[in-house]
Amino acid sequence: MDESRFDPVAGTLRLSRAGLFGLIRSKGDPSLLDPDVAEELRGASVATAAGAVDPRLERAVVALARPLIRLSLEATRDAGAIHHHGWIDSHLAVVVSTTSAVVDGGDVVAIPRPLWPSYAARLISLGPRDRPKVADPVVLAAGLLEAIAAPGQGFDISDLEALLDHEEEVPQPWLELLSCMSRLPVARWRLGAWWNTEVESPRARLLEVIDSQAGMVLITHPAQQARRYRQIRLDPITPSQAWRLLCALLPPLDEVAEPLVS
Amino acid sequence: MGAESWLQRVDAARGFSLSHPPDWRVQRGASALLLSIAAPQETEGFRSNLNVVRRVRDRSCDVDGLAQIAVREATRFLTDLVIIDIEPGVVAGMSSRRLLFAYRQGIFSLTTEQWVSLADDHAWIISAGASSSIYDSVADVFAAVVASLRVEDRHG
Repeated sequence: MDESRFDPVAGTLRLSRAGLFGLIRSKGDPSLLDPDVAEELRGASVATAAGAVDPRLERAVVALARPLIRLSLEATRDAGAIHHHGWIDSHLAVVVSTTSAVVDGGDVVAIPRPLWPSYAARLISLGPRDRPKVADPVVLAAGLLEAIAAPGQGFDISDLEALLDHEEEVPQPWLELLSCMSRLPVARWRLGAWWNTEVESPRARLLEVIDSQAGMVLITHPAQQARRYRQIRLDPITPSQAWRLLCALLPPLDEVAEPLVS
Repeated sequence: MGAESWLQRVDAARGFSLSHPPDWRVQRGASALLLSIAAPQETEGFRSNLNVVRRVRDRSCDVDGLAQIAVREATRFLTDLVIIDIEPGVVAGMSSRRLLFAYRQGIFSLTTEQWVSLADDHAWIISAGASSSIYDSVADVFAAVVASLRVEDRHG
């Protein structure tokens, strides 16, 4: 994203990489902006002629500069990956959408913080799905999953059996499900949130799901044993379970200690 | 607090019973709304609640049709609706569909579960709602209340 633009009538904001980082580092104080960035932001209507951030964007800049929680959401489909980088304070969730896995300029959306789960559900197209025809979890090599989830593989069960490590035992229903996932369009989404805390609670949570017409599968990373390959665990989940995990991803604000360094 | 300490509410006159957490407030309805229970505390200005409604059954409509009506009404009346899940099930021995959706109310996200079930003579509709930020902590309560429902309606 090489050009910033704020359209207050349409309610849209795009920020270039320089514009985004300029606002984060300056915390909206025009005297701390690089002159070139200040000029860009004035030209983009992000800042006023006097250099101050447009009042309609002030709250979003506060969240960008002093977030209580940081987020990343990566949604991958056949067409490629979209990355959403989030900054959350007590009022707002500010989300920058980009094709870059690292924070970069892009389209910016600011929503009231409590609306984050619904917004995220739209980004990942959460909705009714068939149930996976498996009951128990399975553990397998992470590399095998990457191969299955890669577009256009179309592995049948015998292909998968050939790819399995000889130590791995994958039940037949799972082989059938994984083969389906290899042949059908698959979406994959990975949500991460992290924050500072002084209480005995997690400082980060991760939610990673493979979503296909054959059902949804939760990916977790068990403690690694002494094996040649990194392992992952797959659990069949329903959209309802995914929604519960999504709703529980962010901590209550009273567990968050202080703003993160943005 | 385990479900063994829950209170059982029996309404013999209208042919149903259910159990609920002891600190949830109960209000008896007068007509189609049979019963409403609500959590003791509000979260983000919203009190988690569960309502039991019974209506005379429209015999031209099966349980999937009833679920479609519920989705259509949610789509008409709720803002920024996201339909999250629809699944078949059984409630109090009745064929049922469970709907899960989220929507916006002001600056808050609310989550609603709705179980629509058919007996021979009645449609039973249970709606449970919570602020999405605490939905994970009340979803099991909703499920346990619904699992405790017993009805005297005839059903095959």
